[in-house]
Amino acid sequence: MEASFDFWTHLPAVIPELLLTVLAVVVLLLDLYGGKENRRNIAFVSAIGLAAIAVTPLIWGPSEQQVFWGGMVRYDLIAQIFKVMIIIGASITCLMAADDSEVGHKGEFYLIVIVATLGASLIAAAADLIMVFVGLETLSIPLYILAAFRRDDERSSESGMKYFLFGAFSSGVMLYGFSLLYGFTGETNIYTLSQAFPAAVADNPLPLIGALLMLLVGFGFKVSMVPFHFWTPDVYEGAPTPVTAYVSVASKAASFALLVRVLLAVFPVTLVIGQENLQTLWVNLVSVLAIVTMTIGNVLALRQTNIKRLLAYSSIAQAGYVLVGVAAMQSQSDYSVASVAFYLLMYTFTNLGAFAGVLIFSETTGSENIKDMGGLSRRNPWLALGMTIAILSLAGIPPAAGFFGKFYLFTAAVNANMVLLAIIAVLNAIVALYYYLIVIKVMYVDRSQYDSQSIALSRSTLWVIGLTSIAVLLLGTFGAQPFFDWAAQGAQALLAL
Amino acid sequence: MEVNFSDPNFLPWLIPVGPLLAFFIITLATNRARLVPATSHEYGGHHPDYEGMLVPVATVPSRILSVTVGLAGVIMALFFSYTVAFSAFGEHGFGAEVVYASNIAWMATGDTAFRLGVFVDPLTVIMLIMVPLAVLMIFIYSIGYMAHDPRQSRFFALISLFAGAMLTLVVADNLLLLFVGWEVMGLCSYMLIGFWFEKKSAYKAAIKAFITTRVADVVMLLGIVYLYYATGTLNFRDILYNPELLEQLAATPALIFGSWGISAASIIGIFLIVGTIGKSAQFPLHVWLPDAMEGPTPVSAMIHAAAMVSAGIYAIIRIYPLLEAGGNPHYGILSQPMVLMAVVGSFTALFAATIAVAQNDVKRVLAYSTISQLGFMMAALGIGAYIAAAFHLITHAFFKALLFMASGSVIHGMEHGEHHVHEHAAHGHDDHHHDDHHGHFDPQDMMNMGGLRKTMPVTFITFLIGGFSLAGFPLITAGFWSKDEILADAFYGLTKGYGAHALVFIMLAVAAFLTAFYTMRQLGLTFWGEPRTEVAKHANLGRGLVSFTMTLPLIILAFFAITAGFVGVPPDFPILGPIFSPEHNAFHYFVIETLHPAFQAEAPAVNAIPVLTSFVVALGGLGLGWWMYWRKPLVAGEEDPLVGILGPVHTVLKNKYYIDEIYVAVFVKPSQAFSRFVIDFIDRGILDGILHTIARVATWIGDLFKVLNTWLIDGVGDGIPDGIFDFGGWVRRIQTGHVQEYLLVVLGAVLVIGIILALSTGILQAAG
Amino acid sequence: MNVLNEWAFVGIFIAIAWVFPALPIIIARFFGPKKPNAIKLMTYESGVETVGDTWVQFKIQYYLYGLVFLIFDVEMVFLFPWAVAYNELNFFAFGAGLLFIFLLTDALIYAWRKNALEWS
Repeated sequence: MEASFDFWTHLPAVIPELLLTVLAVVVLLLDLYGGKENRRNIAFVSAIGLAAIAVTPLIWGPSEQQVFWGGMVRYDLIAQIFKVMIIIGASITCLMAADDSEVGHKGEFYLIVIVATLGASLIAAAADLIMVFVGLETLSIPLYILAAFRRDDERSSESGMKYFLFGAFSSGVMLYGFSLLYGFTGETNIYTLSQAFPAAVADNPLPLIGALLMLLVGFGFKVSMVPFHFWTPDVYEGAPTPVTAYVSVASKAASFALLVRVLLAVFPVTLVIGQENLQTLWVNLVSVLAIVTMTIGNVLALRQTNIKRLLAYSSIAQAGYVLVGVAAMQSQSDYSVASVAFYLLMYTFTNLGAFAGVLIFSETTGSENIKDMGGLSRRNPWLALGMTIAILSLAGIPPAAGFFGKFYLFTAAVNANMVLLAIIAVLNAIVALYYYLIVIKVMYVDRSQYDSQSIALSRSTLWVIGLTSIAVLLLGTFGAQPFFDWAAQGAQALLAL
Repeated sequence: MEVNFSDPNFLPWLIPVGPLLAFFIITLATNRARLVPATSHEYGGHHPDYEGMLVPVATVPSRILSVTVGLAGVIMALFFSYTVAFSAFGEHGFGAEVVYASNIAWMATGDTAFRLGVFVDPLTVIMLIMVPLAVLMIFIYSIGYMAHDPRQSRFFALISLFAGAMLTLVVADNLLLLFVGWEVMGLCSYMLIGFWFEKKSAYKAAIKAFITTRVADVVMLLGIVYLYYATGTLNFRDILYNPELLEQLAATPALIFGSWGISAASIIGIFLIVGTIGKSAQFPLHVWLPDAMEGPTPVSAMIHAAAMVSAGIYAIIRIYPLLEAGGNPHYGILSQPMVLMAVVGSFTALFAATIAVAQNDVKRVLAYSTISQLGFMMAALGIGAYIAAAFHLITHAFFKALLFMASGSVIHGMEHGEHHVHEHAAHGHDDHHHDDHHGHFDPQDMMNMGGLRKTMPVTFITFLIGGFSLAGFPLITAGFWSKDEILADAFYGLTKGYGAHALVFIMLAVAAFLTAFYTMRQLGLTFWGEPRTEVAKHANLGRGLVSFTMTLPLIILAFFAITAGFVGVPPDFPILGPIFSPEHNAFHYFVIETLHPAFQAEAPAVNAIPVLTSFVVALGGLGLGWWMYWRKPLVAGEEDPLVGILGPVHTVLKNKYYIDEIYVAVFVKPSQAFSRFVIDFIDRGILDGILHTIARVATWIGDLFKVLNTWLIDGVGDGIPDGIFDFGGWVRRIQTGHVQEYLLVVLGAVLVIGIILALSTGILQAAG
Repeated sequence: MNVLNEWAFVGIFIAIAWVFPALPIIIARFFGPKKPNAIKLMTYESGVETVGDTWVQFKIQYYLYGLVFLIFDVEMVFLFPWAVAYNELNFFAFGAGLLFIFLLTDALIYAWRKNALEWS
């Protein structure tokens, strides 16, 4: 520590994380001393606490981007935006879990969610490879536990195990990539690495290519990018539904935040080694992976009969769309970064809404089959409406937010002269329409054996469905431009290296 | 700009909010219904009885709530509209230098943002005066008219949405938002025309209206897209107040059509006009409008007067400078879209008027008269009579809303009478007789009416006022002044020797004569003479709330059907001019500022010939009608004297020139036949034939052709979707569930990607 | 190619790392005398034959104890430098260490309250 270290100037950069730690302790103590009958209230304490913490990045917004805590944490607007997104996602997850019969009454569940959120929030702002790794593990390990949370359920245990093995493997590969970067430059700070490259690797980009590839494996695993996606359907199906929702939203948002930051900072456009522009390299790689991810995700989703598996493949495909935006960063415009951030923001609400619907549906009927959703509109029109809004958003149909999400992403690709990529993405969106609309059709037109069984919505689930639906509609209409502008400001902060 | 809703620039945002909010509240909250057997009397009226089926009927609290919410929404809209309108009247130079506008960036498109907003100029103001008022009247009327309908809540929800969409369209500052309102109205009209969907004719009419307008809307959308492509904006003010841009558009040859001498401005104009031809029911897309009266009568009033068809004309008036671009109607130079409008409009005006002469259904006569009057406006626009068209739009809205609601009262009264007779008959006669009578009775047929003035005096007087206004009864009715202005403008062109103006003048004069005639015929058949049936003798509205809500709007609208014309009296008109327009023609003076000074034109001086023509055709038509139907009223069983006079022509007119039949023969039947042909011949015949042949050949020749066969079945028979689907199934096999295999695949993928990357960067070669 | 040359010794090291252990085994295989008999081939593990099934179930508490011990043991490593440099620390570092201990205590309380420390 230098002598000039001033605790109070460094503090605002990690206020959400500190508060999350406090909340974790509070929840832990509540679980221990709160008494069995109050367990359910832990859900509300966590949800409200998280919601309150989600506001703090907005209050203590950074005036300019700066690196704090010995180069570990970068304090900029885009990090704050992602933090808000992640913490709100966690808050809604807790609210959703309150009614899950298997995890809702366990205090540890909320504790672990909060710790995972802490990790996610750290990596959104991480500016150092060490911080990246610590954050990623702080996020991942709780998620492994959460996936296997239903100990007595074979599928849940299996999904936890698979997730762990996959995660450990990719963490290992990524760590190897980090070690390569460190080994060649002697630097771990993301923002100084690229300056050290020319001296360290002279004119041979091979080690950097290796490092890039290994990094992509790690991130690819977290965002379920094909071909590192294999865990996704199994884990989504086996894990408790709130966990699935959380994995698909908060974990993904944090990982994309990191991916965008690392790619832009470590392999900037200015980095040319041995006549090889590193940026062209990763842009091409990400474009190809985007195409493969979208296509495989959508094509596989066509065949699914289980709604959670369908959403799993759909989330793979959605990751593919976001990668389109990541690839479009080659234009160095804030538009592409903003489109990624906006997409993830709207995706947070959309997917949480969809999973909340699935949760209520499967809690009541015990089934996760799409065909059993027949007649949902008659069993509970509100639930069906909420699901419909979420699914329309996933499909990218106005007035749901997904329309603007896709619009911005594809526009970013076109602006970056990647018209072919945009066309493929649009074609994919058309294929995806098929399986999304089938779910809506089943809910409104078909009938099923459960048809006469009405579904009751508890207050907390009503809140979840209501909030997410309103957010999705808002972001799809009036909210789109202001939030996009906000994200664009954040993007400028990110690009200002 | 600071958002501040006391500022008239922002107030227009709130105008459509009330009805739209009402729609959501009613749909989501106040539409409780309980199930009753379909045979219950609560579900009677327009609905057939379904034995043993439960149907939802709105509960009384939700009825009251829905009506209250719906009314509150419209009153809110009315309040904000009038606040905006009156503050606009107070602005000096409103329209030219001052407009109320505010907008938000809605969507970033590359470097610029597509901005959505509201915009109020003089044209908007006059619509804001008319639309909410007419809509409010329709709402009040609906309270009574729909009081016993099982789906009253739904009705109020939909009609609120309808009103909200119309108001959105009116305050829109760009074509896209206008188109949104336009399409929402299309949807509402579909749902409301088919409101009594148990009736086959109703849902068929709904589909017809939807499909017909849809055809036109697609073309209109093309026009909008082209306009955006050509100018990069859809904002009215940016395009229409920019003569250089318009000139440039008129000078640019159009894509594709350019080689035929059509400019970009023309093709855009023509596309947009086609949209209006569909929406405002002009020939040849007018077929949906007469059928649209299958919906409840307030809906007819909404469609025919306040909203839907007015929207079409409004849109055209709105984009008028674009249509005029490249020509100058005041010097007889008409651009192609203007010629199209003049021809289509004047033809439709005359064509529909002739049909209306031979109709016996009280609402159908009015439906054709609407088409005819919209033709007047269209023709007026075609010869550049911009103000006259706007004027006629407003006056027509008032008297046509009045006429529709009055005819609804008549029908309601007739149903009431039928009910009375029904009960009476049930006492006196055996059931068989009564059912026979009941089955054949049509409460809308004017031949069954007569003498209604005695039992329904208020309806009679108001209908008379509305009818006279429609007929253009000289000097005291609104219809006279607006129609006279159109004729005056046309005559002015005629004196200069412009062909289009002459055509319009002659066609419209004849149409006006027929209008006066069929109005008188309708009044005579309905109200004059003695009742021709037992039902007509007992036709009345009863007493109480229903009767009150159904007559109050008539009285209010009757007031406007007379006075609305006095705002547009030419100042140099003998005697009346100095009284009503001491300084200038108020309407003309106000609305002209909507246009850029380059497009403004002075009203022609009053000329005796068109005024006399107006007098002659109106009085002549009314006189002829009086002579044929009032002097010696029809008695029961007597034939319409027209049948004898016109002979076979009457049959043609009665069948509306067989247009529907022609459409069925030309479009519907062939497309049905074509689809049947596809199924029978191509699918079963050719495709199956090929497959069978190939299968046979395959068994003969062997394995090679079997492969081909499978490929053909997959490729041709099932198509690409199945291909993708199968591909999904194939790829899915990778997802085995074994984590070690997954990891192996990942490792393999990493290696492959790494090698490709290394090779693509040429490093290995360099190393080698 | 400079970089690769500089780092070439890593590659050489990897190769040698494989060769060194492999070589004695291979040499022994080829040149060592092989005279097996029954006693030589007998299982030997700590010199005693196993009795009964080797797949016995341990008490689950043993596992929990093991885990808790491991966690605290490892985390003790983080505290060690803090304790050694205690005199040099500023207030902030002191507070951070205290916070760390506090969180550890929290975990301990958790394990305790959830009966992870009860043997029966």
